Amino acid sequence: MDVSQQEAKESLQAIQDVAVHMRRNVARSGSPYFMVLWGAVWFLGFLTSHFVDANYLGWVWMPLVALGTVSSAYLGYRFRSKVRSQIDIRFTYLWLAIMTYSAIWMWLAQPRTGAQASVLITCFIMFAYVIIGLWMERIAAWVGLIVTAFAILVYALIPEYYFLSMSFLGGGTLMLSGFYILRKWK
Amino acid sequence: MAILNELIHQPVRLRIMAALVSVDDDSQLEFTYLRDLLELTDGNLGAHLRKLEEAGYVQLVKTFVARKPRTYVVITSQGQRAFGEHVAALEAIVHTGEIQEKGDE
Repeated sequence: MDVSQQEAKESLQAIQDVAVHMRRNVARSGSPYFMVLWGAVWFLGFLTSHFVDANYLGWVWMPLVALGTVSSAYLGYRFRSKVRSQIDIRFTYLWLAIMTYSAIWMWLAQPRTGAQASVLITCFIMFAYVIIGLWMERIAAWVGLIVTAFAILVYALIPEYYFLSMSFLGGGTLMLSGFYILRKWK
Repeated sequence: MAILNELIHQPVRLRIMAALVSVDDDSQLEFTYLRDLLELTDGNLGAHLRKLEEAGYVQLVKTFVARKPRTYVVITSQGQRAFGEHVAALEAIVHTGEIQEKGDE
């Protein structure tokens, strides 16, 4: 079988093009939708938390988190039916581990205020984003680092505006990153 | 030295194999997903997949999702090896050509 140098180059380019297209397609079909979804949950949750009494924060977050979890399960099922991979299972275990460990740390740390509990949970969730970013998509790591920095700075400098700031900085960053990926990898 | 694989070198099959190797080893791609990704028809993709399956390079997994029949495509370890060798052979051709070009200068 004779293949010219030009033909070999074209074949290698075709392989490269498909690989890039494939990876983007797989990445695009999952994480950006989750980012937009959870960004919206955070935006609504933190914004409402700013205006309601601290005693009612549970009533604000429980239905939003339940809605986010059910929607995530639906999105996961929808995308998984196209590409089936062991990595989906590893992702599920990663999130279960993050939730379990954040519950343990919450119990150990006994945060006194809603903002303290929130910054702790935010750091755990963003830690998962950093790990996912190191594994797969670099942008997830950047989102994780930026939102963590926002959360800690706002909590340390202007704690009275923590919830309001996090609705825009945390929720907004997640949503904008999701939209950015969807637009960039279209 | 790596040898070119005539079966894989066909442009459509080359792209099918490239798509399958670019995901995790254990990933399975749904038939219609692969069809849309590579912009092929059902018949065209099916015919090429059959050839790859006969060679032992891919495996077709038929199953039901929400009571609907679904076909998933997964690359075999034999397919990964064959594709790797084919890519190595292509790279060798490009590399040899570049050395010759430099020599001519």
